[in-house]
Amino acid sequence: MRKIWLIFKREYVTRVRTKAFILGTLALPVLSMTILVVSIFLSGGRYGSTVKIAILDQTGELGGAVETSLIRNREKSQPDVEIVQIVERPTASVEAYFKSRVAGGEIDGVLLLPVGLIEGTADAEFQAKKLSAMAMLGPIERAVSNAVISRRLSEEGKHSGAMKDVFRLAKIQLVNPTSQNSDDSDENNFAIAIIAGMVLYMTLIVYGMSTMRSVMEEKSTRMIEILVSSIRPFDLLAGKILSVGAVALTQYLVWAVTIGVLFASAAGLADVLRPGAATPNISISPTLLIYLVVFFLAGYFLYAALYAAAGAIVSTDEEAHQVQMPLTLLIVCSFLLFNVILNNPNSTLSVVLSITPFLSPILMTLRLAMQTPPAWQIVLALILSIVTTIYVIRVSARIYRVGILMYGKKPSIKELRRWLRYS
Amino acid sequence: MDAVTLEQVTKRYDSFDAVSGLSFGIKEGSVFGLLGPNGAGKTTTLRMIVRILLPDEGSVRVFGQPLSDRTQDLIGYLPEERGLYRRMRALEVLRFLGALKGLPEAEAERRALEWLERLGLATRMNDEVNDLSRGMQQKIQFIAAIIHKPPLVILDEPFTGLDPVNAQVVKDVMLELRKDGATIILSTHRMDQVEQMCDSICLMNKGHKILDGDLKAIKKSYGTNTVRVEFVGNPAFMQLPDVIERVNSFGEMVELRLRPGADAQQILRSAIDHRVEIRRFELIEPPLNDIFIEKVSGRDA
Repeated sequence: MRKIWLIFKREYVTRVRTKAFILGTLALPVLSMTILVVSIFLSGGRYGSTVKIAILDQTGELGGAVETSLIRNREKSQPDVEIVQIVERPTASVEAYFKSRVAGGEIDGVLLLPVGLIEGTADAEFQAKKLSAMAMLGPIERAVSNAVISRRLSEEGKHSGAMKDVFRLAKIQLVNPTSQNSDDSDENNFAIAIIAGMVLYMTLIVYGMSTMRSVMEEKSTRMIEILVSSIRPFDLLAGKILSVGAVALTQYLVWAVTIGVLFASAAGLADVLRPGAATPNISISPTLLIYLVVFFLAGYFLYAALYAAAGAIVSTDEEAHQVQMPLTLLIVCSFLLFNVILNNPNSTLSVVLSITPFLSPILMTLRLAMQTPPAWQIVLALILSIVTTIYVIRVSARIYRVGILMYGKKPSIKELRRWLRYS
Repeated sequence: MDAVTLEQVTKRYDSFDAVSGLSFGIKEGSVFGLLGPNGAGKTTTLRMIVRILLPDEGSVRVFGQPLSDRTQDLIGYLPEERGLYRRMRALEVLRFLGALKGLPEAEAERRALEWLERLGLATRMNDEVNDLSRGMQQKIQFIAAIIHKPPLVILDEPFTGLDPVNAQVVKDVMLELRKDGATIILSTHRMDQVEQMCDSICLMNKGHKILDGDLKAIKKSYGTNTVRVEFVGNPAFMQLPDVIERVNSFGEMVELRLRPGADAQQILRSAIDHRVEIRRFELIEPPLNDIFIEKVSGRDA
C-alpha cells in the first residue's frame, strides 16, 4: 500500500504541475465566465419582463386571431407578451411612427401583416431590436400561421373548429417532445445533458490517453525496469491509474466549485455589470453531480486500464497511434449515440444502449441528466460496467506486465493471447 | 548462508529457452561475476533474481527466503538499459526511488544529498534529469541502486559509458560496499574488471551454465599453460606448432597458449636462435578472456 501511495503521489504532483493541466482546468471556468458576461450584455432585460409588441394589420382580418394564438399558446421558455396595440389598415405614416417607437425602445417589436398574406403572396414582417424580442420570432411565426390557416379554412367554408383541433394536436407533438416525458423536466435539462455528456466524453479520452502516455514514458525511458524491481507491476499500474483518476477528479472539483460560484453570483454580477439584465438560469442538481462522478469513475477505470495495456504493448508513437485508435473509437461511439438518447431517453434502444458496458458511462449519464430512469436500470448499468471493468483490468494487467519489458515490434493479437498465459 | 540460490531455474519464451536448468549459489559478502556472450541469458537471470520476471520452473531464493515483497527491498538493481524520468529533478528522483525501496522520504533525501555530494553532482541536484549528461544520469542511477544500503547489489554492466575517472569512483564505492558486507553481482563483458574484482563467476551461454565456481580455482585448474612474452624483433620465432597451441597477439606483447605437456623453454631457445630481444618472459595462469572464448566457442562447435 505504501508503494502504491508513493507512485500515486509522484504521478499526481508531476501531473498537476504541468501547464496542460493548469490551462485545461482554467479553460472551462473562463469560458463559462465569458459566456455569462456576454449573455448579460446581450440580453435586453430579464426574461421575466414583458415583451411589448404592436400589430399593424393591413389585411384587417388577422390581428385579433394572432393575438389570441400568441397569448394562449405561450410556452414556458418564452417571455411574457403584451400586445400593446392592434392597428387595422394603418397608413404609411402610422407604420413609420411605430417603427420609430421600436428604434426608440418604447416598444419591443412591430409585427406587420401585409395585404396578400392570407393568399400567400406576401410575407409577414417582424421588426425587433432586442434579443428577448427576437426570441419571439418562432412563436410569432406559429401564431401567424395558425391565424392564416384558420382564416383560409373558414373562407373555404370548412368546419374550422374541427380542423383547428387537428392542427393543435399536430403542433403539440412537434414543438416540444421532451417536455412530456417527466414532470420535473426543467428547460435546461437538455443543455445540462449535453454538457455532462461532453465533459465525460472529453475527460475519458484525455485522461485515458494521459494514462497511456505515462506508461509509454516509463517504457521508453527504461525507468520501468527500476520501478518493477521495487514494486509489483500490478501495484504500479494501480497507483498510476488511481493517480490519473484523482487528477481528473481534482479538475472536476475545480470546475464544479468555480462554475457553481459563478452562477450563484450571476445575478449579483449582472446587477453590477448591467442593472436589469437577464441571467441564464442554469442549475445542476447535486444528485446529477454525484452520478456524473460515479459514472466518470466507472468509465475511467475501464478505459484507463485499456489505454494502459495499449501503452505497454507499443514502443513508438506511431504504434501508439494505431493501438489507441480502436479505444478512442469506442468512446467516440458513445458520442455518436448522443442523438438516440436525446431524441427519446426512454426508447428501448436508449435503455439498452445506456446499460451496455463501454457505452453506459456516458449514455447513462446523459439519460440521468434528462430525467430519472428507473433505479434498476441505473444499478444494472453500474453492475455490468463494474464486472466488465474487473475483467478488463485483469486482462490489461497481464498484458501490461509482459508488455512493459518488451521492446521492438508491436505484438500481434495471437502473441498478446500468449502473453496472458505467461507466469 | 548463500546470498542468492538458484535451483534448476528455467525461463521459456515462445521460440526458445532464455535460461534453462540454471543452478548456482552466491556466497554472502562476495563479488560474483555473471559472464557470457550477448544473448546468453544473463539479463533474464538477473531479472528473475529481482523478481521482474518469474521463472517457469525452479526456484530463486535470496538470503534463504523465497522472493517476496520483503526481499525486494533487500536488493539494489542497476539495469543495463539506463533511463530516468526526464522531467524530474535529480534529487527528487533519488528521494522517490529511495522511498520506493522502503526508506522514509526524509532519510532518502538526506542520503541522496550525501551521495550527490560524494559523486560530484551536488551542484546539479535541482536540475532536471534531461539536462544532465549521460554519465551523470548513470551515476544517479547507480546511487538509486545503493541508496537503501541493500545487502545484495546487482549491477548490470555498471561501467559502460563511464569515463575512466568515473569508472574508478564507481569501482571504489563497490569495493567499499563489499567491505561493509554487501554481496555484489556483476554482469559484464569486460574480463579485466572481472579478474580484478570478482571472487567467483558463472559463465553462461545460450541459457546454459557452462562454467562456475571460485575464480582462482577455475584459473588454477587450467594450470600455468600460458606464456606472456614481450619482445623486439622477428615474430617468426613463435612458429613452433608442436609447442604453441594458440597465439594471442597484442603487438609487441603476446600471450602464447602451450600444448599440454609442452616445454616453455623451447620458446625461449627459439627466440634466441632468431636473435629476438626478450624483455619479459612469464609463465601465467590463462587470462579469463581465453577461458571465456574457449568455453563459448567450444560449445558452439
